[in-house]
Amino acid sequence: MTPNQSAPMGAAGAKRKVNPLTPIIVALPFVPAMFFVLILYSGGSIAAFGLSGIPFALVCALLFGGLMTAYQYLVWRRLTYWFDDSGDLRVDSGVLYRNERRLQLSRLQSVEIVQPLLARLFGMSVVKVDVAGGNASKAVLRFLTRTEAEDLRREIITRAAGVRDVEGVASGVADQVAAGPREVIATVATKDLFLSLLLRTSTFGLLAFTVLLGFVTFWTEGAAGVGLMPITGGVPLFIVISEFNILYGFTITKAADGVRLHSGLLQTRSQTVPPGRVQAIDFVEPLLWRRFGWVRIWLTVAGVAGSGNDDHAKVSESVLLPVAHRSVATEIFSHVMPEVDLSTIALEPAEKRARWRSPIQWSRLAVGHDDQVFVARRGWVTRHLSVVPHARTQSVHVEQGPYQRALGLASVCVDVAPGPVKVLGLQRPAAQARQIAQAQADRARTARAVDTSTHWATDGKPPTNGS
Amino acid sequence: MALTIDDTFAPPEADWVRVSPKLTTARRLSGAIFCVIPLIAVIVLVVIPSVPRWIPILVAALAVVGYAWFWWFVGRRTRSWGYAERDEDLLVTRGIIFKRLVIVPYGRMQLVDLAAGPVGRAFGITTLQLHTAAATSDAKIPGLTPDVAAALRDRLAELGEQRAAGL
Repeated sequence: MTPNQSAPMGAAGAKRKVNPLTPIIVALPFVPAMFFVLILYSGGSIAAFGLSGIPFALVCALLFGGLMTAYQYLVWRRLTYWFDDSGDLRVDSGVLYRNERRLQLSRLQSVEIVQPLLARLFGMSVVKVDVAGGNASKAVLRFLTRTEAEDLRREIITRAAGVRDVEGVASGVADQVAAGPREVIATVATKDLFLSLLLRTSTFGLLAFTVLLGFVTFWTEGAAGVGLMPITGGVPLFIVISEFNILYGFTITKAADGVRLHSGLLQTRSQTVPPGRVQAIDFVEPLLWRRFGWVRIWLTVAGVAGSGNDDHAKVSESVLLPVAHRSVATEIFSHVMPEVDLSTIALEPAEKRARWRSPIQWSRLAVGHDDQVFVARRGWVTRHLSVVPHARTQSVHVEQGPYQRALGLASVCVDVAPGPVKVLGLQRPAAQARQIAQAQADRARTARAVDTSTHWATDGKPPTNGS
Repeated sequence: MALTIDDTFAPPEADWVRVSPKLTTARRLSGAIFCVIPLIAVIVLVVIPSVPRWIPILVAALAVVGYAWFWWFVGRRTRSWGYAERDEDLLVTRGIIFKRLVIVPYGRMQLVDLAAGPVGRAFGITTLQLHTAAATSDAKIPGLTPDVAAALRDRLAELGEQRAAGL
């Protein structure tokens, strides 16, 4: 039922299907869910006619599961994917509303393999393909076996690297991608991850506030704090736990096809960031992390933010490194942007009058650039160092409020694809702000003219020295 | 380049191309809709006999002063919009209190939108919106006459295509 399972590089036109077990795996969780819903909602009547309600609920749930499986079978039968002659990924799906999607792989942003808990028990994975351009630019193929998923990912990335004739040229690249060294460049210790999540400024602040609230409530023997404490304490704890679940066991691997991120406690996921797809990067250092020398690296990959704005998607697809020592972060950065050396970029600090507008962070404000990237530094409590390649600069704007105008200041913002990274050059001298903006727009234009980093496979060698 | 502070939002070479004054009229008229609220209030206050006469007069006076300020403000704000087409990029500026200037290289434009609401159509003005891959670009030019807007869109689309680069 699954052609090309043996040959990782299938013929261009061959149509493929996802694993035939898919309908069952999708429908399975609905059976117990339906069973419990029936039991719960017929609570009174079950007591009335005793245990006979349970087999009835069971039969209903099984029947429902059967119907779901039948429907999912239709979904499965309809879901077909293949690579067309121009090297794009085509996905046909939809039972009632048919959908024929064509993903232009030359615009590939990332390929992700996710293993939800239940699918993991069956050894199945979901492949998510992300192409620049928002919601309609995503393809989700569920489910494939682990090896099928790995092969598909490799094939997609190889094709996205600018290879048309997969049988010919690609075999070299494919072998390189497949057999190339998979060097683990960093892992995050569970202890560090947990501690770092607790010590983030807002989380720690809220938890400390909760403890204080507890004391005050106890002291005054009132009840005012009791209602608030579950919120001030519960919300940050929930965030810590959910991020811990997503980022558990974070491993960064270097392969010829880019940097791979692997993590997850209950649901594992493995994301590949091909070279040249990084839109922007942000090094973040919260106040309480500094004594450990810890840094988190956020990453903007186009298309990710457009595919869902919930925090889960944001965290799981935009963290390049959850927490690590500065030296590790520098090394990871050198794998993602190998041609950039941040230590050689001269940062120009904001002038002293900036203190009247940004009294706390003014001494940290700075911007700089080299021939590859633009860098902006800001933040005192939580330090940010944002990096955007000139070739990924979309536009530049200057803003000035009335107070800034009185001080002769203005802020420059380099616009990048939607994501967690903001590149802000705050409180520059007004005239300089305009110059920075115009210069950056010019650099963006000229950098783009020579940029070929996204077609690394046809350039002979990847720009990253993976092998 | 010796730019002074005032020059931060200065036009690059020639002056800014300003938007149509029809936009001022359209916005003043749209704003007049909000005058309905104090008008109703005044009528109600006049109808209720126990309310002293000076209260509805005060409300009406405040509404007139407020609208006069709005009238003046809209005029200035509309005049603050401007754009400049350069060889390689488009500049758009706006604002009096909070000023903003955006520079969009033609190669980064993803699409150009023209939009006209019912009021805009009645006055013959169109809004041109430029989209890049960044959501924060926000390059919008309101108050263009339809033929100017269409010509500008076609020029931008052509320039964008010539200089197009992926993402």
